Amino acid sequence: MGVKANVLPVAEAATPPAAELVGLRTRARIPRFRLHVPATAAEAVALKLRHPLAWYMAGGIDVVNRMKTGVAVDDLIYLAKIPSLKSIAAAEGGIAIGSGATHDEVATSPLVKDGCGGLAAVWARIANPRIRFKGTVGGNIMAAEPGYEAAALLAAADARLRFVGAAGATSLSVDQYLGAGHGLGPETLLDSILILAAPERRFIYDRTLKGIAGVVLSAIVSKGRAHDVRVAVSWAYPRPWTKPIKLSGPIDASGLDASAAELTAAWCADLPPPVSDHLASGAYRRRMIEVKLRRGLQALAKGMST
Amino acid sequence: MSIPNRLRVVGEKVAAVDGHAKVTGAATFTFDRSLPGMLHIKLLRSPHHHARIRAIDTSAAERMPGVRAVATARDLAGLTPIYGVRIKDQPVLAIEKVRYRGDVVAAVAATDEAAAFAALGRIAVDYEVLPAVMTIDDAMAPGAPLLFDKPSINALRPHGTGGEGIAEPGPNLLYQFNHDVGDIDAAWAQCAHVFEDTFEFSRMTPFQMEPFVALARPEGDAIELWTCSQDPFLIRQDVANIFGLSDHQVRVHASFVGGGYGGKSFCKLEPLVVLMARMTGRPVRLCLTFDENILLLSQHAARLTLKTGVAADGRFVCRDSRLYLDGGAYSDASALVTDKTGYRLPGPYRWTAVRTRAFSVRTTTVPAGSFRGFGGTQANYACESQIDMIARRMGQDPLEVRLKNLLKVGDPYLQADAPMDSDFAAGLRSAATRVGYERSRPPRRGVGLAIGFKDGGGEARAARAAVKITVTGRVVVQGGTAEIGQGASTALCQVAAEMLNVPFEWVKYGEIDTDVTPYDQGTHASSGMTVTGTAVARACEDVRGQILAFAAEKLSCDPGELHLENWTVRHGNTVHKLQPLAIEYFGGYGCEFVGRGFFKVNEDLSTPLNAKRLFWMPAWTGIEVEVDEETGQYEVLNFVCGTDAGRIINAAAARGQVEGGALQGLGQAMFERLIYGPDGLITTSPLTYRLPLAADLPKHFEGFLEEHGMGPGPFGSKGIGESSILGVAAALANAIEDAIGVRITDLPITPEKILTALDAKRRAA
Amino acid sequence: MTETCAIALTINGREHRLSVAPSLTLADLLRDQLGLTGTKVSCDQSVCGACTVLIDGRPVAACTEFAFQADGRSITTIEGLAKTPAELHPIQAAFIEASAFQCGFCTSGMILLLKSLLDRNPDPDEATLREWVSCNICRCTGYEVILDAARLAAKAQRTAAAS
Repeated sequence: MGVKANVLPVAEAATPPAAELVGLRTRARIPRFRLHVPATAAEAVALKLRHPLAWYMAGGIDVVNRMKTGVAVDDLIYLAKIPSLKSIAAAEGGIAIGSGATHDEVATSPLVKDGCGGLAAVWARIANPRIRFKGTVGGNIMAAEPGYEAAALLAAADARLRFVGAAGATSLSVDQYLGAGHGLGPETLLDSILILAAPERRFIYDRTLKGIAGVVLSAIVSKGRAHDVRVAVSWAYPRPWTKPIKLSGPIDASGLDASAAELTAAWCADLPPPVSDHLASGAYRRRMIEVKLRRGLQALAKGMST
Repeated sequence: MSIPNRLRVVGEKVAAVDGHAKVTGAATFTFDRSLPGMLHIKLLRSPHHHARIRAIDTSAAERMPGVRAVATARDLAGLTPIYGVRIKDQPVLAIEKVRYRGDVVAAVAATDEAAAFAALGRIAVDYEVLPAVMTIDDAMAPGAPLLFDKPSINALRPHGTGGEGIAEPGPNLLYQFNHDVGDIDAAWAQCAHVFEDTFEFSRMTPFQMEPFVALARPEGDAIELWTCSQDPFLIRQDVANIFGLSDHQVRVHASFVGGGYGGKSFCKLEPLVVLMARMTGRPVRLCLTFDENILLLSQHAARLTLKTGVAADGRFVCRDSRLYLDGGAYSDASALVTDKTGYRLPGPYRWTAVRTRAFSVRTTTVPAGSFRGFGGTQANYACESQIDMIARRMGQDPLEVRLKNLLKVGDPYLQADAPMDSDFAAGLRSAATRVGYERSRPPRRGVGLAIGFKDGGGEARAARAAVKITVTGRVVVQGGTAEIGQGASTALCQVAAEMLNVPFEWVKYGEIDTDVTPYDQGTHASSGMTVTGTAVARACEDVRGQILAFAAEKLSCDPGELHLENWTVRHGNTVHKLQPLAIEYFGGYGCEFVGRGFFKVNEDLSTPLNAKRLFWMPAWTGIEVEVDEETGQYEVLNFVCGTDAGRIINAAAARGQVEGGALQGLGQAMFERLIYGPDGLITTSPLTYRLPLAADLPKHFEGFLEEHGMGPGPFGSKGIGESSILGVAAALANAIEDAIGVRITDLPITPEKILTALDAKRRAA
Repeated sequence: MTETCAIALTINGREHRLSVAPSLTLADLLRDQLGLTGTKVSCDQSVCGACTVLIDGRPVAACTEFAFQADGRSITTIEGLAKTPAELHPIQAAFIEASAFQCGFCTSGMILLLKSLLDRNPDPDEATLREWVSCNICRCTGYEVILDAARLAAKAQRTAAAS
């Protein structure tokens, strides 16, 4: 799994203490660090190039919590004062959501609601209100925690991630970014997320098996027909598994309902084996992905006909 | 004491005495305390499940800036440094061995926390790693590595007729409890059916919001201690024993306790805090991190095998049970929990014969000890699951089978113990009605009942209390029951206000200080109302007598002619204010009348434990579920849980106890547990340890209270705090079988287990 | 780049100008430096919400917030809620009325969480109310009494606003 140690170093990047301190995760162990507060993304990238071991921090939930394990951090680059990272603005082809926008800002943004209301609605369900006020979209993705939800939702929305680094800007799909070999330099900063303007895009999100398997699917529904059906699975793999559903063409509600099982079987045919852990076996996860996807397609069909 | 039907304060709505402080943030918990010039203690814990300590080098740590002391086992020389309840095996700091990942090896006291952490990292411990013993099976395997090479200190109390307790009966066995009633070998002949089933019970961490915290200040040999413990007097005793001090050299303060559920009972790290205070000569504070708190104490996981014989008509005949509790690395209260689990296993039913063999097993995991329900939760889960299974196998209604076999009011428990003082059948019928037991329901919906059953009041407990009244009629109640959220301070003040006939607002609960507060054996066994409460009531009677005698003397009449009310005495048609009488008598100054009360349950070896049970604590639980047969997911549609409060002293507090315990039970039944993987604990922090949130509340959730009026406490009251958790897991398992015909016998009841069971059922069909 | 930072923030209506280490959490600033111990810290992981304070009216876990992040903002802690000791905030009064606390360790955070909710939504529906209360953990009560208190407080505030 492509843990982004370049952006949010995990413990092994730092000097380990001489003895393992079992159980001592506490804010009293947060290291003394130098604080850098850049005003622009370019300035942030320059700081990171100058201090390669520095950590970027946006909202701070994951950064502050990881610091409590006693990891050494000499420099912290605080991104919250960079106006461009906080903006949610119309962009070519859609809406550019600054990586520092909070979940609450995404869920309640008039631009997002108008441009992709389905996404705004599912965004309003992730985590809880207290976390949504503080957690940022960028932080959620960069933390690369398997339990987090933003990456799967964005994958299902066919979002593009825009990174800025020493070599300029790079745009990647969520899948490209989370996959191996994206080639981004360690100084790279997630700048914004481009959401395609698609008011007709609907989302179905089953998160009732939290930690085991979450299935989000989205589709463009226009003139009573669905197309561009995308699926992302969270929690069953170290990172979201995402793939579109192959349709021969736009499909109406009764056709979708009738072929939901068949489409699910085809989509799941090359599904890699999900993880087995203390929460569930891989076999159970796989079975749940199938059930939830089929039900999601049926729910989509039902929603189309009403 | 005569019990009037209508009371002024008892049973009436009052503002909790701790309410204002708790809603304004002014309430002081031990967590909030600091001492001038104090040092901070941090602990080095074992990274290994099981290892021999070859050497510890603390020299580098001692040279670190800010470090004032580094303690290891060598600093225990000259002390009696082993503690535990009934069986003592836990050292203040690991001696020669570590027995679980998290065992405390060394402690640093430094001027600030950062210095203490830095020093901990410099302590070099040379371990010889030994094989881990992570499960009951590991521990019981032939040739399993032993946690202890030598016998531990045996401080068991005698058991009575039919009961037997054995310390360390075999390799890796901490304790065994035997319980025999009747002739079980003969009883099998009366049985038409014999059923044998095994149940696996998970373990939770208490997850008290306030972590363990204690502060100590030395003064010469004497020590002053502030601890989050609910047992200040037991801590005083342990500290005095360990350090060879006399009781009066140890002064313990209790504050508001930020949640316990068992995790703050008995001695924990207080002796280590005292050790560091004595080594440094300075005030010290130890506050655990939340993750360390998970390593401090857990509930007992358990495996329970019940072999139950039943007559053709559904009458219970005999039960032979064998149960193993995972006691973790150290004794703590495991021996007592083993007694109680085994003793309660037969439930509130009539039996001809019972044989129970209960064991506490040592494993290299977090020590297990007190947890709300104290073994009753494990026992009820197995008992009430199996009763349902038996009824269904025999084609009988589980409710009817229970009603047919329940003990009635006045029936002794297992022929030798205190009689039933709650109407179990009435309560169960009430739960059945509330949950809609008889309602017809669509497919995949089901309903389950279970009875929670445990004794309350503890082991021949004793408590003293004092009630002080000033010349203005204001009252301070002094008792040793800590306010841990159960509402004891308010309820005890209600009792005093009622008995002294003063407004509730005139009464306060005094802060607990072992130098000042009358002795109490601790906040245990849901006994605050019955044991301490009776002592308070008696103290009220005592002081009332003093006041009336005083007034009678002043008014030259007989005390029996006086009626005490709102700090006046009425004599015939004349009302005399007591304040001027008293002030006049005391020469213009203030003074106090002080009443004292004492209550003790006497030892009685005619019964299997060491005394007859003080009271019985029922819980009547009903759960309705709907199961999704394609995913195994289920929704709890309806959840009712009730108890018999005897007489309700404070309905709001009682409701809170019932609902809070019920949701703890539901969390355990559905998902909450400490998870051990092959490499050890997985749920090491709150992020990975799931416990119930408001979002997990069932659609309909109702805690109900009954008043059967037979409790031993003031006004017929009983304790209720541990009741509602007891039967929840069985009720859920029973509801799921009712819905879809599969039985889950291990906790938690996850969707995957249900789906796996459904698969097996489909294959078999 | 700074090794200590100067921050200016308003706490319970009073302005503070402070020099803090960047690594200082807001929880420690409030508790250890300003003596506002009504803010409790429990899980230290932004999970339980015991340390919830309001920053510009939004609920934030103070254990996972650096003090410097609060620069320029307005903080409300439990100590800032009651106008006078005798005049409790309606949510505090409702918590007493509904007996919505037991041990009390989660109470400060719960009350502030609900203040944030009711300030932005005076009449929340049940789903919203449950979602908000689910931000924080109460190990004692089983939550029903906390939901009761929230409903009582919402009603009392609406009544007061209408009169």
